[in-house]
Amino acid sequence: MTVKKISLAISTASILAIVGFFSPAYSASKNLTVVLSEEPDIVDPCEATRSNVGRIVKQNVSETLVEIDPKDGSIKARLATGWKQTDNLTWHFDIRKGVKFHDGEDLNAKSVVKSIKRALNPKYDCEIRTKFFGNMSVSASAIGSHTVAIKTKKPQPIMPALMGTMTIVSPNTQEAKGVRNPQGTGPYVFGTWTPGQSVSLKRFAGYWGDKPVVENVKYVFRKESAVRAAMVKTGEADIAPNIAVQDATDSKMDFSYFNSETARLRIDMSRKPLDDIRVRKAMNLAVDLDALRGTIFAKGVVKQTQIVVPSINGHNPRLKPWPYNLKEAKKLVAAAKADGVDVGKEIVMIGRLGIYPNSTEAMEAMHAMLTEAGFNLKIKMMETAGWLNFLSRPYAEDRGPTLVQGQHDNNNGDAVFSMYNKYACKGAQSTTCDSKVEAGIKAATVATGDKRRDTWQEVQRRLHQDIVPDVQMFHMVGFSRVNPRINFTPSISTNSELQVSQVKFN
Amino acid sequence: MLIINEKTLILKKLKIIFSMFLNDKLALISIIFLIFILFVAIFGPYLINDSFTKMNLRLRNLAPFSFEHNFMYFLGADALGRSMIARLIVGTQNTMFIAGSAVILSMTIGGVLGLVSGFFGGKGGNIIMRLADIIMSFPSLLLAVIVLYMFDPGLINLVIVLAFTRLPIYMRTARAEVLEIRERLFVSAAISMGASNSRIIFKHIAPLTIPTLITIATLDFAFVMLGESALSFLGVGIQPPEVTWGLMVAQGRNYLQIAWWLAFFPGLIIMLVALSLNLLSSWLRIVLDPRQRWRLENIGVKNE
Amino acid sequence: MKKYLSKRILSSLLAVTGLFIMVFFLARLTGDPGHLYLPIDAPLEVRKEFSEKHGFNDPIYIQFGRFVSDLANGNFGDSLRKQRPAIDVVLEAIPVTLSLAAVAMSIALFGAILIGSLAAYKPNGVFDRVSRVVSLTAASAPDFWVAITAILIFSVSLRWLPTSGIGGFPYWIMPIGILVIRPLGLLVQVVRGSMITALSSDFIKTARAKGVKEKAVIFKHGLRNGLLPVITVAGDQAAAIANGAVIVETIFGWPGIGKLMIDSILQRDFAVVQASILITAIVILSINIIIDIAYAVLDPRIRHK
Repeated sequence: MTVKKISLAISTASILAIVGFFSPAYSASKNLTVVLSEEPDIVDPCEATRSNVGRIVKQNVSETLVEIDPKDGSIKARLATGWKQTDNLTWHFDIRKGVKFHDGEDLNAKSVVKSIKRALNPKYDCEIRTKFFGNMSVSASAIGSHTVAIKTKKPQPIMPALMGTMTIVSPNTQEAKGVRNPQGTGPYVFGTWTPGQSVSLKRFAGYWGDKPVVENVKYVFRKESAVRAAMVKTGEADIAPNIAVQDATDSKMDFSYFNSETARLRIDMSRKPLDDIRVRKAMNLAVDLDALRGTIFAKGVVKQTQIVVPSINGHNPRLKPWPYNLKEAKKLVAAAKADGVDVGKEIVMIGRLGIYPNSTEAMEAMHAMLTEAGFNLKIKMMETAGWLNFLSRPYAEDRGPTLVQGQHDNNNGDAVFSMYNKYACKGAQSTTCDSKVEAGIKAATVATGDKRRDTWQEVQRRLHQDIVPDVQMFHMVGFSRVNPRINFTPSISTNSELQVSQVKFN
Repeated sequence: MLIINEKTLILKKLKIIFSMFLNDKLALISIIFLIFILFVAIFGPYLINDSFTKMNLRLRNLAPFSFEHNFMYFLGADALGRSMIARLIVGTQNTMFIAGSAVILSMTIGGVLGLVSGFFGGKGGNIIMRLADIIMSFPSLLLAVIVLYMFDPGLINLVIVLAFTRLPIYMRTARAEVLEIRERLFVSAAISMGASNSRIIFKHIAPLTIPTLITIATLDFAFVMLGESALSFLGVGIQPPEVTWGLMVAQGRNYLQIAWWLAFFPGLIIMLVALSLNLLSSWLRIVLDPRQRWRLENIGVKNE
Repeated sequence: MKKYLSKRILSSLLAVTGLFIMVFFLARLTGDPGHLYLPIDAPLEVRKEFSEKHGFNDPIYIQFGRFVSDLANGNFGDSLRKQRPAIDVVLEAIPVTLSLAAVAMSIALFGAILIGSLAAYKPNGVFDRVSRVVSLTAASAPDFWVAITAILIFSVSLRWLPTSGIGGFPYWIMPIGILVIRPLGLLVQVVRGSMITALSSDFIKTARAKGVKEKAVIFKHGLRNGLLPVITVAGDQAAAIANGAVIVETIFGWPGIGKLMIDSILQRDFAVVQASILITAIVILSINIIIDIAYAVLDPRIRHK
């Protein structure tokens, strides 16, 4: 078996060499080349919630039941044309008629149910399930030819929003995660995947919606932002959806957009001296966010007051960001010290390399600012695996006080996707346990309409003013570079998807 | 009758060495430069005012060669507004320590192992060489990540990792030299005269391997500096707030288009130090090899 | 000769086994990959389930036992990330790195022999000094810095070359150029050094006295003996290229084994890490065996041991 594989390797090498010398010119006209920072390990649509998978697959190859409008979080029809809650625990979704999968199968209630069951199968670790559904018990069944009933054990008012993550695949798809040739209903058919080099898609003639302009799409992968930016500049690529701020130097080609990410330093409130609210307030007052904006962070970042961005349902627009007031910060520190709080205890700032551009400089800058307020801090930069040990449960028993550099994104329309994990007593990254916050999260999760929104907003207020669980930083901005021959404007959803049907030529 | 005492002998030796330096101007410049670097490494951080290493966001990415600011900012400022010159001075200490320790460690241990393996051969020698093979096939990156994860990512651990990965090159070179030298006539002569093994190794063979080992070591010094920089590029090297030249280059690479000096000056100084080391090493090689010394000594008319 | 060869191969196999075992344990010591693999927001129970399912919670000797029995069946395990057999992923990546390494090493070796020999012919002469400074400057530059600068100059400003990627001849120029610089610089010095020693030895003087032509003196007599340490260093350099092409592969987007290894290490994809180390180790050990054979061929004194 291995001999076969070795000969495969040898023939691959020789083919590489031969083909290399005769690579045909790639006709530019109606074709699009997108350069991403990383190759996706997997193109299975049930992993489409991962941004480097979603940018290729989501809404291009495989579509979701509903689509969330990034501007205001409202829910629009996609493969489902209508939905209603029939009772406390059940939602009905009407499936669009006359749609076919790339392999010829029909889109109907049966195929949707099969697709949902596959994504939520606990035997496989589809990210749709692990990220959004957890251990929620969901049962999907077909009612008639084009209606699907989704029933849960507990009320789920945001089921429609959740269905915005559910990518639908053909009933012929293998059960196990890892399909390398996904068959969906989207405007593009999955073409070839040359591992390590490129992925290509071709326009689907039988698409149910409007015919897109781009005929073929090719995705290539370059780790260095400078290289991605260079490729678009020379015309080797058309779109680089994500480049670093210092490479975005061309005002004609570069666009900045809110990428729905929020950067913060998470305070471990369970460890002294961070359990004293004066200490936490002082930290927020000691950081000069304006000095960081336009220097280490892009000019367009917005100071945060809460973990969710303004377009999310539950965002409280009445909260004001912390001002920079070093004198006040020092006063608070002195007051805490006078009460016996050990403000001089060494606090470790845990950073994650590359979490956002200039992440290391950001940590060094914050370190300098917090030290001025009188704290004793040490920076520890780590790579992702090590950092995760500090960010998420289970926490080490013998840990000291830490500030963990974090970034969270939520562009799924509702605060519920952020609040439990970050601030509930048992949340995976939470170090807070406040009864009012806990009650608020529980109530909002099952509420609807205005009540839901108001409850979330009260939770945000309590966190911002009474609890202060984070050193609040920014809602982040991303940068894209787009070649002038292309007409495409990145939006908040460019962080996780790139709908080729929205791309036009100039 | 000449009365020669100790003092005149030493003076005479020094005079000879000095004249040998004069005959190789490049080596002279190199040693002066290296002594300067050593001085900066030891005393530099104490001589500069703290303020220049403090963050100053208004001077972020300040361009070099301007006369408007303090002379400390002549080479520009980095992404946090810290003076490049100050950062380079502080980085000298760490860089020299890491690279120097790693090289000395690996040269000594690797050299001895290679000597033993080459001279005695047999099973022991074989095992030593297999060890070299294993180390060479072991990705230094994996080791660095593991060390960084399990222990505190500090200078000492970085030195150990770097030294460990450079061992094989000394082991194999020393062994190769020994294999070749062992066959020479004078060694067979020494053996037949009944010299003990240790005498043969340390008096006859080892001195002959040293020139090659030193040549490799001085080059290796540069590679260790660059290796440490590569680890920083991949995110598993020395971590801020510690700083080395390598880390400065790695961090500066993100700014090549808008602030080229962030990566250029630390890279330049790495190159200059490496260059000096090598020029010095080829001078050393000639001095230490009795058959080549004549090129540097003032015997008769100089042919140059 | 045959006996020597088989002995070498056997001890190399032992080395590979030792390496493999060491890597298994060391890699597992870096912690639970489930943490990394699942999304940050995954609830704790999901995380626990994941570890259970993949056996990461079992004591390490049980994991090792399972690993060994899988290996006996030719199964290196599946890549956690890519959901396919790890060995497939590795065997796709190896040819890329090998071709880079082979081309770079050949250019470096021949260039070094040429330049080094000429430099050694007149030590401290003009050519010697200039080549010394140039080769060293080139070898001392941080390769990722040179790579990105080269892209900025040759692709973006001058538009002479493509920025990155695999393809025809123009795509090879910059990656190979970067890869060649350091080995070339190092080898020129080593060739020069050992050629100087060789050229001043007795048998060279004899050859000259006998009236052998200068060219033959250098290339036939001097090179033969001067080459021994050069081959050692060259072999190490080849291994270093195979192991360390990660930076070139990362920047230029070549899907080689270096990049694969560092990505798998950072993502704790154990199966791929092990498989790639194994294949790399086999390649490097083979190179070492070839070097030892070359020794024996070049130096009759060693051959008759």
